[in-house]
Amino acid sequence: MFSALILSQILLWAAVIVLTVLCLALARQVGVLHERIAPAGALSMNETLKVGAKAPIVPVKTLDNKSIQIGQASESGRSTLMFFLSPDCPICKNLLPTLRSALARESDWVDGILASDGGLESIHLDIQKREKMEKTPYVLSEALGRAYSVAKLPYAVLIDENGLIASMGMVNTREHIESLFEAKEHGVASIQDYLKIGGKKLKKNEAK
Amino acid sequence: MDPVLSLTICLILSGFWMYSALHKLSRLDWFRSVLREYNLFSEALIRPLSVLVPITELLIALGLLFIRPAGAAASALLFAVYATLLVFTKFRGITLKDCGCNWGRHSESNRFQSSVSLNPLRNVIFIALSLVLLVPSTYRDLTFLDWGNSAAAAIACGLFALVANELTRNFSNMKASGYV
Repeated sequence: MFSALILSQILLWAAVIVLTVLCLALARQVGVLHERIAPAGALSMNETLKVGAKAPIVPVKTLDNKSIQIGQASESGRSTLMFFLSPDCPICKNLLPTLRSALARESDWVDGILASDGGLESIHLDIQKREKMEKTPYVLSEALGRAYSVAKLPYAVLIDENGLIASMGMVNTREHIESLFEAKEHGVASIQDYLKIGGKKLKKNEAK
Repeated sequence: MDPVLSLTICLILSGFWMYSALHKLSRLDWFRSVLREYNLFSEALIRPLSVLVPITELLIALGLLFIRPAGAAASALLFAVYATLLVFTKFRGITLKDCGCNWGRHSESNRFQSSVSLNPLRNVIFIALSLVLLVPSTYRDLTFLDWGNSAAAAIACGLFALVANELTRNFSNMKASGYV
């Protein structure tokens, strides 16, 4: 009888521990799954800044110690795409090669800037080197993120040649980055706006 | 108090301090950056402190196993110091990306602000557990089954803590993404 009780005790403890390990594995899988699934929605609109408004001018220093004024009108007539990232944001890292190719493709009119809110410089330098984006200025500034009201990452802001915000929002895919360029080209705040206008025009044409 | 209960609590707290100390000692750079975030210690103090803190934790872990009352008192005191530090930092308006309370797991995510505030509460529970060890336990000879029960309970509690840690982290990330 006593041996049976001891055996049942051992088995019960084993069951509790195995179940807890399974719970832990499940919780980790949920976490991994959440990190891999990109948040839905191409563009999340900024509550403070408006498209078409003057971009906040923020003086910053790049990782290679050059001073630049973000948000100023460009003398060369070029636009600036600012990409906000964080070393601990997996989607940001996955998106960097896409950003690099998008910037290369649009290099005749747009310059890129990588921006983060702080942390170890060595980590950012490593990211810049690994993604072969050494020529793209990389700035670390909390003030910049605050000035552009960046709440979620990865986030991008396109500033046009006059220092006005052309388009902005949360970007998770190539399509989202391209939507910023498309929005500027069509002179709309966002692709959603473009689709809305397009939809109305379509309806008017149908009515005629 | 039954000696099995105090033995179990002792094993849980000792395991916690041991793991915490070894984790800090194996990632000194990370721990130094955590100390810098508190904006409380001078740069000259950070280097010795980053070694002194885990060594204190290690001594507490050993104290809990071999000199229980002293180890328990030191454990309660250190938990109280950590809780005070967290509350004080919050009152100073400093938002910690990583408070160093969760073995750095949350440093992977800079969106862990909501559950950082839970850490003082967790520390209060640990202080209570440490103080329970100061209550004299009744004497009886422990059998093999008692030791087995204590060890298994300590392992299960450790795993529960990891599960809770993971779930809190998931919840914070999901909240930051707007899913919940």
